[in-house]
Amino acid sequence: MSVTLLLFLFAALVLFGLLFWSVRPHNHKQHSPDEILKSLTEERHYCRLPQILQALRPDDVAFLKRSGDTALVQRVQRERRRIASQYLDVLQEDFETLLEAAGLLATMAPGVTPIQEWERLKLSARFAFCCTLLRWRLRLGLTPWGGFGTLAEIASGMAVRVEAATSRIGERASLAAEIPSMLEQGRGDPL
Amino acid sequence: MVDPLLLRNIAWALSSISELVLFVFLLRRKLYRSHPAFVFYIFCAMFQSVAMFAVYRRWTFQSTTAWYVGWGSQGLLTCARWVASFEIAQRLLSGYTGIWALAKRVLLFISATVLAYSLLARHQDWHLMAMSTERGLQLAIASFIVTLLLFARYYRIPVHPLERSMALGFFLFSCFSVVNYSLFENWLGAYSNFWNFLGILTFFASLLIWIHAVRKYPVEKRAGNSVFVSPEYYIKLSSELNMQLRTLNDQLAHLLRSEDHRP
Repeated sequence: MSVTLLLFLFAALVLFGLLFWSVRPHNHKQHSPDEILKSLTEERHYCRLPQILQALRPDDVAFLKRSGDTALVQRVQRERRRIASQYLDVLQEDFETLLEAAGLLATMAPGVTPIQEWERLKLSARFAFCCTLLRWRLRLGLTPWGGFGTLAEIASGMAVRVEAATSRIGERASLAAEIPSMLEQGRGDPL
Repeated sequence: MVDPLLLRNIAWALSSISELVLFVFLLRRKLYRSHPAFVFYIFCAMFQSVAMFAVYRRWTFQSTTAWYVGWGSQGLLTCARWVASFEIAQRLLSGYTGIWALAKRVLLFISATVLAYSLLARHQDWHLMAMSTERGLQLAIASFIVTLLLFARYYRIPVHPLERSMALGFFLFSCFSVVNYSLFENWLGAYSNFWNFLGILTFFASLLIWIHAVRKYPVEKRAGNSVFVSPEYYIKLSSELNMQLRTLNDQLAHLLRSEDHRP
């Protein structure tokens, strides 16, 4: 079997895989442009999470372990894993909202900057990879619990910055009011 | 066992009838207004079928004339297929001026790169060179369509069922052709009738997809936005959004790198 044959067969296989990936339905809820623009100026989900994540501090489990109640320790660990997983879900949701907003912005731009779009593509691929990895670590009980607290603090700070950035949308309130209705027709169910 | 020549002839007759049926549907639904390149492609395919039938009747299948007419018309048909694929891309993305400007460059660059690479890997034998070139063109078309669908998915741009089916038909035919040519080059050289049968069969499958789509799906208006933001505003907000995405990413990466503490 020649190398050329293998190469072409591999290329065809990869293209088939990419085709199936590109036509599969989106696994998350599709937002209307109105919802996307609104959600950018709304309070983010993760603003409330620092309080929840405080409960994930390792001290609590260490204390329970010292008390010797194994069943309770296991239950608490299970609960912590569930909360951490929910936290990741919320982060992912926020990330996707930002991505949707960026996509919507690109559809309205008369000329998009390839560097900006390329960077976004790289960021979304990296985020998807890190998220999957972190989920697996959660399942295997290898989660860096301390890090979640740090993340929550930064995430809450980030909400303020997002709001500052998107307040510029508010400056163009008239445009924002027109966009949803005008875009609705062009943004039905993709594939 | 069924004679491969008979199989090939049956498949050929079936695909020729399907071409005609599709062409009639295209005319009846006036798709020449919205999809002129696609209608032209189907017309070319019909013309090729008739031309090849006449050539095979006048000369033999193995004759040099048949070879010239066969590969010459195939080259033209492949170019028409590429133009029809470009038309699908244009219908899907041209309403989004900025995205279309970027997508056009990326799609053309990818097609050109794939084609150039395929031509570099072409067969040195003169008779097989035409087949290698054709394979390169088919691979370029398949890559073009996949990149187009990836673009649409990334920007969440709706792909209307008619355009989607047309793109799928082109992709399936082009991709199977690449596999078919590669197999022929290595193993099926001695079974040219069987190889021809496989090629016609995949084209027949694409024709069935297109007939179904043309009959069933309405022609949608070109999607797009009539509201535009200024380039400065796009760059400002886009940079800001990228910064937020980067912050989230950095934090996830930080989490992954941080020391493990079992709870």
